[in-house]
Order: sequence, then C-alpha cells, then structure tokens
Amino acid sequence: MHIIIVGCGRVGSQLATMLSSEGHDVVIIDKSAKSFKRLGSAFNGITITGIGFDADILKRAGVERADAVAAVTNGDNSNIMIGQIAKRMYNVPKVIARMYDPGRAVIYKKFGLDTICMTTIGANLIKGKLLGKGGK
Amino acid sequence: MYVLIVGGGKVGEALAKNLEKRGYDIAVLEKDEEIAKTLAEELDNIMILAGDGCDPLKLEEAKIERAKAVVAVTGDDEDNLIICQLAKDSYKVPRVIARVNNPKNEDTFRFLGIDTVSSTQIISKLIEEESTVGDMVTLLSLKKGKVSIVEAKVSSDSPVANKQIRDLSLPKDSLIITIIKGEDVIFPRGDSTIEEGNSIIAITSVGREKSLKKLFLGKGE
Repeated sequence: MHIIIVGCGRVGSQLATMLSSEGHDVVIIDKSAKSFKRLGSAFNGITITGIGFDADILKRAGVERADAVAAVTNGDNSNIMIGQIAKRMYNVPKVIARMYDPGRAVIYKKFGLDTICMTTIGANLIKGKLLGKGGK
Repeated sequence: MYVLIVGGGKVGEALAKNLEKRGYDIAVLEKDEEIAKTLAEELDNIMILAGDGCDPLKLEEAKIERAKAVVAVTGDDEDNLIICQLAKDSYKVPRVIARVNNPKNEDTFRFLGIDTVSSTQIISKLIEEESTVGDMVTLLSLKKGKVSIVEAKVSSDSPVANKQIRDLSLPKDSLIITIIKGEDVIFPRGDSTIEEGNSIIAITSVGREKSLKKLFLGKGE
C-alpha cells in the first residue's frame, strides 16, 4: 500500500517504521527535517520536509495515488485540515486524523472524518487497568 | 447585527474597531489570555472573550448561534479553517469569512466551501483594477452570471463623455446605476451629465455587455 503519514513525532515515526518494515511504500512528511531522526533503521521510505496541509507537499508525496493517509501531527486542527484535503480533495480511500481533544473528535466524526482520539483511548485503557477489567 | 471575530491580533482588533464604529454588535474571541486582557482594556464597547475559537464550547460561550457573521482572522490558517467550518456546518452562521495567511491555502478553503480574504488576493485585485483603466470591469455577477454589474471609466474620447443621460441610447436590458465623480456618488437622472474621468456603474444582462462597452468606451470587443 502507498501510505502517507503526516507528522514525524513519536506516533508518526513509530507508525512509519512499522509500516515500512512490513513492506508498504511509506512517505512521511514533517515540517522539521530534524524529526526524521526518530525514524528507525528499518524505515526505507521517503521523507519530505514541509507543511502537511500544503496541497503541493501532499501532491509531492503522491496523495493522488495514495491508499491511505494518517494525519498525526501535534495539532488537532492541522490533522483535521490534512484529513479533509486527503479525503475530500483527493478521495484517498482510508484517512485517519489523530485528535487530542475529545470534543473535536466527536464533531469531526459527524463531518465524515475518521478520527482517533488518543485522550479517550488512553483514559479508557488506564481505567480498565485500574479497575482490573478489560476496559473499553 | 451580531458579528463574532475570532483572533485578536492586529487584524482582529482593527476589524473590531471598524465594525463597532459602524454600529455592529461585536465580540472578539482570543486564544491568548494576556492579549485578551490588553484588548479588553483598549476596546471599551466590545465584548472580549479569552478562549480557543476552535473549541465548540468557547464558541457557544461567545453566543455563536446568535451571530449573523463569523470572521476568523487568527494567524493560523488551519485554525481559521476549522473555526469557519464549525460556524458554517455546526452552527449554521449565515456569513462566514476566513483570513488566509498563506495564499497556497486559498484553493483548499474554497474547495471546502469557505470564503476567504487574503492580502495577496487583494493586492493582485488592486493591481488588476489599476491596469484595466479605460476598460470595463465586472464588479459582480448575479444570477449565476446572467446579469452583471460593471464599471467603466470615462475617457476624453469616450462616446458618452459630456453627454446627458437622456441623450444616450443604452442597449436593451441595461441600466446606469450610478456615476462616480471623484468622491461623489450621483444617482443619475435624465439631465445628469457624464464627464471625463467619471466612473459609470451599470447593470446589464450578459449578452448586452459588448454593446454597453462600445457605448461607454467607443470600442467593442
């Protein structure tokens, strides 16, 4: 699969390394070239330095033929904007936007954007461990 | 009319002052508490709220459902986009405008249905207007482009220069709305005279634009 990951933080770099070592074509975008140092040695994809919601940068990353886009920058709004560009302008089949603010995640789910809210997931996991149940 | 401005930087502040002077009911929502505090001290009659405009709860606190217009003028395009989308889609605000800081993002905003204002856009438009002196410019297209409001600058060799309105043979489906003489705006009557240097603003159906241009400027296209 041709997968574009925007944001090379802890989540983005790990995701990129994982997918790349599984044999996927991965392009990772980050506004700072330094953050690509986080990528593991198993990463053999392409890195692009630039702003992820810049349509030109996404085009350079091959968004027109991408099978999936994951927006995992540290800004909820950036992720929402990237998600919308990928989904609505370029019809990428699978688009995920990572959120921190649960309130926003709910709203954007309504707009048809697939979001993952780390805060809610994390809270539920911790709750599950604390209470000794599976959690949700 | 209640207008909510999101972003209390230079643009937001100037806009708030300007609109307040024109009698609008204004509120400014600013993310940075310090800036919001300073603004509140400077702007007496304007409600200043501290909070993130991308947060639906803050927007509700700012009474967004009452707003006839929302203007997002923060320095971050992604924030401006989200604010406008929330205003338009979740709160059904009738008029929503975003400032675009990076002209590259204009297409994205337009594609997502958000009206934009960018300084690049404005400067190019001003230059364009300047370079079309002696020509006829379309100011506004109405009814999906069937009717347009046009402006023509009258030069000395224009066929309408120094003529009275009643002596003009206007093409069918065309009407002169105003004549601009320097700073004055004149609502024309039969005996109003068009002079060199005036601007004529007219409404016309698209098919008549050419003949109107010929009448005003002496040249057709």
